[in-house]
Amino acid sequence: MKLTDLNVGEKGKILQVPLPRLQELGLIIGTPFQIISRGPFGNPIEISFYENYLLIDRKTAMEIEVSPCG
Amino acid sequence: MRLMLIGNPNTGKTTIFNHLTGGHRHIGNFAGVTVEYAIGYYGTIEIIDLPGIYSLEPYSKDEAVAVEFLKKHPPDGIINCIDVSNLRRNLGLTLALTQLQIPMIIAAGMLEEQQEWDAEKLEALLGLPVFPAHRKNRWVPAVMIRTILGEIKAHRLPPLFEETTMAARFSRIDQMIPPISKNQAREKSEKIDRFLLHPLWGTLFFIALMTAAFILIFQYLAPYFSTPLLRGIEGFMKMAEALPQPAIRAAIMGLISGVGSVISFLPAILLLFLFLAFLEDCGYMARICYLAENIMAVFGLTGRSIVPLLIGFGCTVPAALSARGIPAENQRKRTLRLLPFISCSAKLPVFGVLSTLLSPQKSLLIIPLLYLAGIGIGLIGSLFSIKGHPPFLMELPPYRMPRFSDLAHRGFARTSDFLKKIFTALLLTSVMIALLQHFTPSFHWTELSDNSILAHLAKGISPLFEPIHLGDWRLICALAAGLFAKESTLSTLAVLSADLSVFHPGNLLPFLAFFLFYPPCIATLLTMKKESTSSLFPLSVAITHLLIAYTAAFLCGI
Repeated sequence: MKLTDLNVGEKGKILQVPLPRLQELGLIIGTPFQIISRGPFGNPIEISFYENYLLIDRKTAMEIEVSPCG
Repeated sequence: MRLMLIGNPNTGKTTIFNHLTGGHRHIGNFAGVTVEYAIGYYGTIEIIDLPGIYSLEPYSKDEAVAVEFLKKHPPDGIINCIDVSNLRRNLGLTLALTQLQIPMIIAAGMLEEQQEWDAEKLEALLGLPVFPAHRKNRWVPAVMIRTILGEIKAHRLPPLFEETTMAARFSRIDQMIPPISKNQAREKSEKIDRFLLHPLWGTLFFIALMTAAFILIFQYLAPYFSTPLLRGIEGFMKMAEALPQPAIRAAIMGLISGVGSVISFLPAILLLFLFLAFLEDCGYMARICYLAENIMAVFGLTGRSIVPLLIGFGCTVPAALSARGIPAENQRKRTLRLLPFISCSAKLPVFGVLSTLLSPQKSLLIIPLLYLAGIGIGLIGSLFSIKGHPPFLMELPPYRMPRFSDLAHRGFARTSDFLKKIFTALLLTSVMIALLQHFTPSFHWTELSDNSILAHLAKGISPLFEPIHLGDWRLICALAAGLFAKESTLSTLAVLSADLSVFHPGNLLPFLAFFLFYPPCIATLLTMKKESTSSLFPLSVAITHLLIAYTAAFLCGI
């Protein structure tokens, strides 16, 4: 399942991270997160993990493998 | 002795730097990129404020240069600035820094927002001295310096965390600290964002805010400061005109008009910098990018491009400067390239006078059409230049009330850095043009402008402008004056052809078209050189615009 498949408010865990930059920001395998909002036309996607709020463009988000939980 | 301030972006590093050094600094440039570092002194100790980084193996080019600098010139001690309200992410860099094995202390900001953490707990966790550097509470620079000097003298090295990848570091951190709960500031921010990030209401709010700020700055505040200054300049000009020695007279008149052209946009620049600093510090800038990302992506730009583009309606110089915040180089250059297509406020008087001349009834319709034509051509151009869209990743900071002293510090520092860089070149060109304007080819003083070197040059190139009906040397002189400052086009026309009889139905529209598209002023080109770190870039911008202007004028003259 991809990050883009989750709806606003849903929670999940990261299974695979495509960009080194995301790891620099603290998003690693196993990090629990929640979808907070989506921009106009569903882009970008705002997620929160721990105390971070991060905007990710849809194209990148489509490459992030996640598993839903909660 | 050299100390370095190192930390993630937005950890209050610069505030700490200013507090340590009293704000006296000079700016160093890394070769090849626009990021800068600041050097200041505490007594004889050199303090360097490195740009924000997330790791020591960074992904962006700008950050890579900063890390390279750190590794090439290792400091005697590191002050690692962290934001405790975002502890987990900040510790990623802290763990990486311990591997440099340089004496280090932690300057912990935003401790006051946290209930779970205090300096003692952090010291126990990291095995490093932790110095609370609150935003609100006063802390004493001498104590912070004494703490780090103590570490250096005792040759105490930070405890080594051996993880070698950021992923490994973060999983170590997840074992070290308990999962963090949302704090109050965050919850409040989320509530505000439900309105400000709403696709409809948020966008409307943004447009309203920008329009209001724009009108306030360009219509009321900036003229309030620049009008009396310009009146003073006029007074000096009158005095200079009375000077006996012709060469000195012309040179000084040139100098004064150069200073005048800087002063005409200086208040606007300062106010815009203050406004931008406010948007950055309160956290709204990141929201703007969120809202604008979609539409900007169509044109190969990023959400952040919206800010320079809007400022471009006022003055292209600060607009080009504000493009610095765009992380991806190709998007930054694309934004810079688009800027000259956005008509700055100095073009408006020319549009106004000439459109009335063109058609007194429809002038209010012609002006918006001119703006639209400019933007339209520019956007079509950027459609052709899209090659790949770099990933857009951006942190959304919580909303915070900015401190006025931080804003003022940054606003003034950016303005003066900018002035230092363009002032000399601008003054030199102004003096040169004044000399060309007031001397005949045989180096005699002339009041009659049609005898001057400039007029002779204009007449010389006039055959080139015949096909687009702009062969009259007075028009060429007026356009040339506009290269130094767009507002001078009108004043030059007024000198050379007071009743504007130089215009006739055949050359009016070509002139407007040429004026709309031809290269931006020298100040803008100099700024672009600085912001793109390449002389070729402004040159290619100038040539492109010359070609577009020529074509447009030609088409309008058929």
